[in-house]
Amino acid sequence: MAWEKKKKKAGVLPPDGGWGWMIVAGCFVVTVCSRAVTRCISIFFVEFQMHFARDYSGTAWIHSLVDCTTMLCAPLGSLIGNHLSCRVAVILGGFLASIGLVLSSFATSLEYLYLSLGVLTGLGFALCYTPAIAMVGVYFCERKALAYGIAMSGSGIGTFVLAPVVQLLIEHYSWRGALLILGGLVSNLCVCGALLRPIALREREAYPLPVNSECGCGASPQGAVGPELERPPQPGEQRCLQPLQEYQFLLMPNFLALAGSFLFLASGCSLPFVYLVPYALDVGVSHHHAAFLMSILGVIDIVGNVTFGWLTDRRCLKQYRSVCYMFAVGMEGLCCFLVPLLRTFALLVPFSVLYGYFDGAYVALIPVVTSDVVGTRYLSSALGVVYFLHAFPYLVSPPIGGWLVDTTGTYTATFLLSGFALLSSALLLATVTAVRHCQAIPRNRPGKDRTREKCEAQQPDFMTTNKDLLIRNPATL
Amino acid sequence: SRLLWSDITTLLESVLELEILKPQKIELSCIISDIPNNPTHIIGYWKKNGNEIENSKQTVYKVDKQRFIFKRIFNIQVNDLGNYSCIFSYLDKQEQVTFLLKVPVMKDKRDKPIVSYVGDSVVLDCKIKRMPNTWQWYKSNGTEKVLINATADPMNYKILLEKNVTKLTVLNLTEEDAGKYICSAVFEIKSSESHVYLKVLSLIEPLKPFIGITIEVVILVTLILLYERYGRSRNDSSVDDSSGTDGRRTRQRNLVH
Repeated sequence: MAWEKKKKKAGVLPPDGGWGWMIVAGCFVVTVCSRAVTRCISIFFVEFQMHFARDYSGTAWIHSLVDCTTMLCAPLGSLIGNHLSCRVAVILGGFLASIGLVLSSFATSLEYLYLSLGVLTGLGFALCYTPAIAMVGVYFCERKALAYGIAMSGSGIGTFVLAPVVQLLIEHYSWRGALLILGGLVSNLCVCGALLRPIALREREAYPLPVNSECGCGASPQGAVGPELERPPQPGEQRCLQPLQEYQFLLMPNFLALAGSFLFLASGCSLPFVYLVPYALDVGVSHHHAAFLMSILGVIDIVGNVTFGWLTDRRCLKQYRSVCYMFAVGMEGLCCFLVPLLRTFALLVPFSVLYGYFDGAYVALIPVVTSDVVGTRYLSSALGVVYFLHAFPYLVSPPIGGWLVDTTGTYTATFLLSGFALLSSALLLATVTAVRHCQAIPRNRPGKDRTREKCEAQQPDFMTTNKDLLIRNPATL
Repeated sequence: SRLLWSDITTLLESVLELEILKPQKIELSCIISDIPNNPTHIIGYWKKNGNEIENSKQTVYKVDKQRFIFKRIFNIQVNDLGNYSCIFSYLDKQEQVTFLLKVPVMKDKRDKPIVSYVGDSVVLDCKIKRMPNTWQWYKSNGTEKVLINATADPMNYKILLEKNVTKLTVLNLTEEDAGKYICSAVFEIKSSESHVYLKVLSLIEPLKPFIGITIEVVILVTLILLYERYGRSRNDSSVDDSSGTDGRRTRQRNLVH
């Protein structure tokens, strides 16, 4: 009954505040519970090694399995989010993840842990990560990058806070009790899911029919795409995006270029995190200082998340968001090239600061850049594909880096590889954007104003053409 | 018997630790140099555990231009481990150097107890730098130690001996298994001991915070959904006004255009 009444109301514009901040808080907690808990699992390894009488290589698989499963099943998460709703996806994910952790507390062997902690918990995290991020993109337009920055800073802040908490839990309750209580903490994901209130967005459609978001995370499920003319659905008929339509963005050349650049990015970005401390120890930095380098990386990561998000939301930079993203990734690559020259603690600190800042910067911009390319409607599915593309490089590049260290005997090759991957990612995107720009210049202007027009729909804009104004006021037709 | 050389070249108070693994004869020598005013001889004697050893006082003559060598051979048996000091006086001053003779010590701090659960198993370990002849595990009952015999009780205990490391696995834990466990590295001359505390919890202990958090989650979810439903029903009751506002807004836009 309430839904029928809603059909008569036109959709709303992205709130950019209000309940949107609750969504950001929810996404923050989702990031804390999934990314930070994944990183804190390595604290349990010493306990597992003692109890099951295995060595480091046996327990390291657990971490890789969780990371890999979370990324591999990200498209599944966006699929469920599209077909049922984001809320259901996140609640289901939270339920699965906490069941996985609770089951792990009864583990009798390491293989049992691979399944319960690696696969089940990883799957649960995958189901909540993508829908939560997509929801933030739906609720925000003007301040999208800032919202993402705050939401993604959860992984840094979460690791910072959760690591000592997990250590304390292990001391008081041993690893079984700690896993049980961690399962309870992770079930707070269900609370985040409850916060993800569905919203009916007004899309810039040529048809005056109202939208109903029951069928997905906020995007309009109507059949029309841009100026193409399809048979407009009858007033009573509501259609969900068909599976093929859902993945139509995969054929967009812009998205293909973006996907290629993400592949390179994921190959390069994890290596410095894994090999910074061993490299520092290798050149003679003490253990304390090396650990301090990692802490600096973590803290500056958070700073980069929030400040870069705020920066790219400024009116002057908003049009150049992709350029800012390429700049951040390119700077990371350059930093990596300089590492082999830095041989003392005093020189490695600025590297940690710069690398950490740009790492936080690009993480906050990934969803923003993706939504700029595919639009809000396909954001959920596109994010699923983007994070899926991260899975294989995350799994494969640290061992390749390790092989390089073993064969060459120094860390130079590993950092050079990382730098090359990051720079190629930035260059690929830059080339494609430049080509697109050169092709678009002789055509009309509206293409360039598109981002401005999206977010400034609330204020009357004298400069836009008749066509745009018409679209913004479907009620006048 | 073997001879072990040690020498100190300093005037300051210093302590040297020596690890003794088996009974042997040891020669401790103190080499003193750079004494002001360059006397021809000095008087020295030895102390054991703070008490002067009888007949140890002797006059030491210079070996070469600057140095005095003051040494003595000690026969170290089980009861002879302790502090040995060579003390020498010149003018009005007295200097001494102390040798600490003892078995290798396990230095890692074990102040935090190891926690486990009823029915579970737990692994306690001890590490030491030098390889002992064998290891032994004891459970402490108040003041006395009870030897743990793994072969006599294989259902409850397993002991793993591996050169410098030993691991005691206690299976089928019960509440009585909690307490202080002592691992003893047996050297020929003496044993070196370290202890670790074991705490056995029942399964209910971690369940309490878990159930608390689950209840909090259920309450929050219910509250959020109820708030949304309440908010929605309030909005629906005022839905007639909203079409009016829309109309006003579009009329404004038309005016501007």
